[in-house]
Amino acid sequence: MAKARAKALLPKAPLAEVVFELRWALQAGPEGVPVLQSDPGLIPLLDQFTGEMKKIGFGFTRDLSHPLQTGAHSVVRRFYKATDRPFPIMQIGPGIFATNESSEYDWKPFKKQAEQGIRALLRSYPKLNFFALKLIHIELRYIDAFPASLVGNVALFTFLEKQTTLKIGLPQMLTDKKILEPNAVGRFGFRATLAGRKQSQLQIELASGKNEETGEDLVRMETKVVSLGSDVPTLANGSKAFRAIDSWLEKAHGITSPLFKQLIKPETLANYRIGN
Amino acid sequence: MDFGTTISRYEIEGDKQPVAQTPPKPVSTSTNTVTAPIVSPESDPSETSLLPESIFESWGTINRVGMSVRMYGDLVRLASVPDGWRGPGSRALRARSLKSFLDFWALVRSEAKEPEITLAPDGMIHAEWFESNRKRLDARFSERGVVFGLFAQDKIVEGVDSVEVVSQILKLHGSKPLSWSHR
Repeated sequence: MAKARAKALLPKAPLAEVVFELRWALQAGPEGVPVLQSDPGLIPLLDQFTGEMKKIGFGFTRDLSHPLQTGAHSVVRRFYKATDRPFPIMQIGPGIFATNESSEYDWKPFKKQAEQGIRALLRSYPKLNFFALKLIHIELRYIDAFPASLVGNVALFTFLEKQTTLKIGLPQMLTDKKILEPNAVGRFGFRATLAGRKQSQLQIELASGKNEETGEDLVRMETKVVSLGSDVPTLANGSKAFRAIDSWLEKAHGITSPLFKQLIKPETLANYRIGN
Repeated sequence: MDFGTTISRYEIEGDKQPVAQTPPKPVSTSTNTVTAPIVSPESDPSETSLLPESIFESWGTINRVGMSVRMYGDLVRLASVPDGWRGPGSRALRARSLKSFLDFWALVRSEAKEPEITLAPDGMIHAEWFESNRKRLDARFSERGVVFGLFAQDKIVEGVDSVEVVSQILKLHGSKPLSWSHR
């Protein structure tokens, strides 16, 4: 099994990373120093969560900082399946849980991975009589890369026009090569509230970038569904919370997956398969 | 004897032995309340994305040359270490070294086994093909070219040259060092 995995080829795809992230409210800092938020359950959580991770094969840990000296919603400990495998990964810290996968991503295994992490979190967080675990932020995020060497011109508007189905018209002057070189860099952002969900958004961001050392140009695309506040599943009824988060995941994926297929042209994706 | 030190935890559907009922309502006491404001994702950008910039920025080459999941994992690991990782003066992976290695790999991949790769303290990728103590090949991918040392058939061949030249030397060498692998 390990040998077969070692020989498996890295999929050629725009997807570089996918992240599922969950945040919970923290205990407020002293009056006048609101930045000093803390997570009263963090220490027992770390201990128990580490045990839960071992049970599901994430037995290798890396501590990033001291748990009591780590800022709000920052990662303290990462969990790996092996020392030589940077993905998949689970992450935990004061007020935050996240799990990531690389371009090996496939929805069903990733969803299972997220569910395992959520179960571990809910099993591990201590019940305190002065502080209740309250989720405030849930997010599914995809990061894709479109390098010039694969898809051609990645000047932002050329990319948007030729590689995506977006249609953004530019005034003649901005496309006049006598005035401007056709190498415009830039950033395109789109944010829309999900229908019937006031505190949930679909966010798309496309930005041009350059590897300064090698000179390679690329476009970075981040697509995410994020819910805050009352749109985040509540833990008031613990037994239903897990199902609610699961349902949120399906809904978010039900938006991001067809969106990607509608947004990026098939001929763009075909560039990744050449030479396989 | 119960000292009240048992920690109870949240109940999840499917657990055989739920450890507690629904969470208690927050107790509103002076400053120790559960009144933390909602943290906006806009004001607090996430730090949970882990892919190193140098890997992300080399995505085109990585996709073009093709490699195993394992070698990709090795590259991500090397690219994740910060400056100072091996004491003062040691450097994070240099993007040009990564490019040099990937360019080399693109030229030899069809007839090479994947090497063991490590990071040198100067931020350069070091690759090793190994068959035995008397048959080994080391290559360091610097910003200016490839430094290599080949020990085979009781002879040592060393040199520094461009990615293209070194790849040709190694591909044409009679002992086929690029096919060595201890993995």
